[in-house]
Amino acid sequence: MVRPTIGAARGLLVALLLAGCAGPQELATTEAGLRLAADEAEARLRASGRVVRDPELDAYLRRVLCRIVGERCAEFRLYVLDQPGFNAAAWPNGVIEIRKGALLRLENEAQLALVLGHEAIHYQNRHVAQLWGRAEQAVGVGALVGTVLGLRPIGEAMGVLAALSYSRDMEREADRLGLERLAAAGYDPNEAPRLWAALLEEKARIGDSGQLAFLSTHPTDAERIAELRAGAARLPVPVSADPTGRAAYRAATARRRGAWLAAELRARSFAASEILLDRLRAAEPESGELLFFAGELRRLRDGPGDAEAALALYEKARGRPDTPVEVWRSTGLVALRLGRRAAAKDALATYLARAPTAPDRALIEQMLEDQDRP
Amino acid sequence: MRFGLAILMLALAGCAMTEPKVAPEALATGSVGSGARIEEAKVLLLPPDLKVGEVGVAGQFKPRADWTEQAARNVMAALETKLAGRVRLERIDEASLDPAERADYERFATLARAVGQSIVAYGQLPTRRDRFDWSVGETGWPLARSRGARYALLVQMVDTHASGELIGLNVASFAVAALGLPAVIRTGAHYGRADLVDLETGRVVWHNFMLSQSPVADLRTLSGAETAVEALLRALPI
Repeated sequence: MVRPTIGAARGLLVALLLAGCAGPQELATTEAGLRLAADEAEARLRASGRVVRDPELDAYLRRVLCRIVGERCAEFRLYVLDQPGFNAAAWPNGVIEIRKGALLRLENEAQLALVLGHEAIHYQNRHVAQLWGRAEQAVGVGALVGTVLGLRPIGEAMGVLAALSYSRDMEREADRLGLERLAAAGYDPNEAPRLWAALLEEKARIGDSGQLAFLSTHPTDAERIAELRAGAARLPVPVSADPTGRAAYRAATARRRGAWLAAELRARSFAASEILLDRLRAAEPESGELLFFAGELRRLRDGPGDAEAALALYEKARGRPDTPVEVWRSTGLVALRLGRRAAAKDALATYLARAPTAPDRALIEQMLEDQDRP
Repeated sequence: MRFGLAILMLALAGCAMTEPKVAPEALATGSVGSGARIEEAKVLLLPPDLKVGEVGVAGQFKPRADWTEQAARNVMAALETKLAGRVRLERIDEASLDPAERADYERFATLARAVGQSIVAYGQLPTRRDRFDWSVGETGWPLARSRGARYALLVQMVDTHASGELIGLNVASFAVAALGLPAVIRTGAHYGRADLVDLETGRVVWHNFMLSQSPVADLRTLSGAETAVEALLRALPI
């Protein structure tokens, strides 16, 4: 008696679900709805304080975007988010967001072009709308089976898991096409696996490598690097003086990097920041700025031996042309922590002498006065 | 997104409708602040913040651009009918704003929306229930000043309709429930919020909120939009 009833219900549902399955019309409707929601979110983003306002940097990023996507670049709006850590995303209305923590981790223009091109492909190939449509179908089938079995939440969850594999396919497509575009735009395609390998190393060190592959929206890291390496090997390396665009990227970002590094350290993910700083210092061993921030990392972390290590790094940094004047303040603060009053007073006084308009002048003067009290 | 989820969870809890909230000093004497009578002051009507879409089988919200556009026309027409003759009304048309005005408008609308949603979320807390003293701050709003407006009326509505798949699944769920098995029924919901903000003091002088699971007002039709506006703006002091 039970079986025919369930059978009839199932038949009705299959008919209803098939009637609602995604054709091109359905995809267009989904896309219009997602675009509307994204436009609203974009208005809120613009009104928020989360966007870095820097016209010169924006102009540079747009030039690189246009070089990688070609004439369709007018469809995109780029936002740099005031957030540490590596991430970038494409919205279904043509917004590409990239964190300043990502810009800090890129070594050259080729890597920037790779990230922007990858996100542009997600938008141009309508990945969000496709994923939504497929997720709806998968969850619909899951809910139907679940309802008939009396286990609807489990059925829906299985549908979501099935939809995630589509997401991995889309990442592969963006990786593959992104690599081709990178080479076509005249950049060295070998920068793609290099970037991912560097990010993977950072991720592994902070203990984030144990995620379950079937739950992840991106292909597993080793798989991804292997595919990118194989892909890059098949593509030509352009013959030019600077096929990675390293000099251009440095020129566009040099003045901003100090602030980005300071923000990165404020996030207090010291294990990840240490890998990042080691990587940057390997490429620029003479940089006073990087020596200073390596010292800052140790000063802020304040683990065993960190104070001494910070002082040694500050000492190496001082006197180099690109070292920030704050190296004197940090030297003084660490010396104070170690009880070296005379050295601390000396360093703090030097800081005030070299940065007469420092915003923390009153605070430092007070500290100096406190040291003179018995 | 998180807010949408909260609405859906509230929707599942049933129907809620609070009494409209009025700032006492705003209406006790029929006049506000510098003495201008409220019905004489000019009211700026911001474009209604609307979202119309489907609820899918798993309860997910799917915005529909075509329905939302239709609803925007209907709600605007219903608001103008409702307020016609009662108040000097000026509409803000986002498309006609220059970039500086637009940034200014977006800042104000975002802030006022956050305050209005906070009233919905926290207005019933024991420490807030008897104190209606919400404000968007005395930040001023150049656009409003240039248009000589004293008040801004903000309306938000979210209207969700069960998708075809969900209706089919609900039918099946009833059948399953009839067999004694556990089943889930999900439906659409209607959410509405309105705030009247005094642009001189920044105070929210009037607020109302409604939430309903029964399909009383389908914003896709003009008559549905009129019903929704009538219910939301009942007891509006202008």
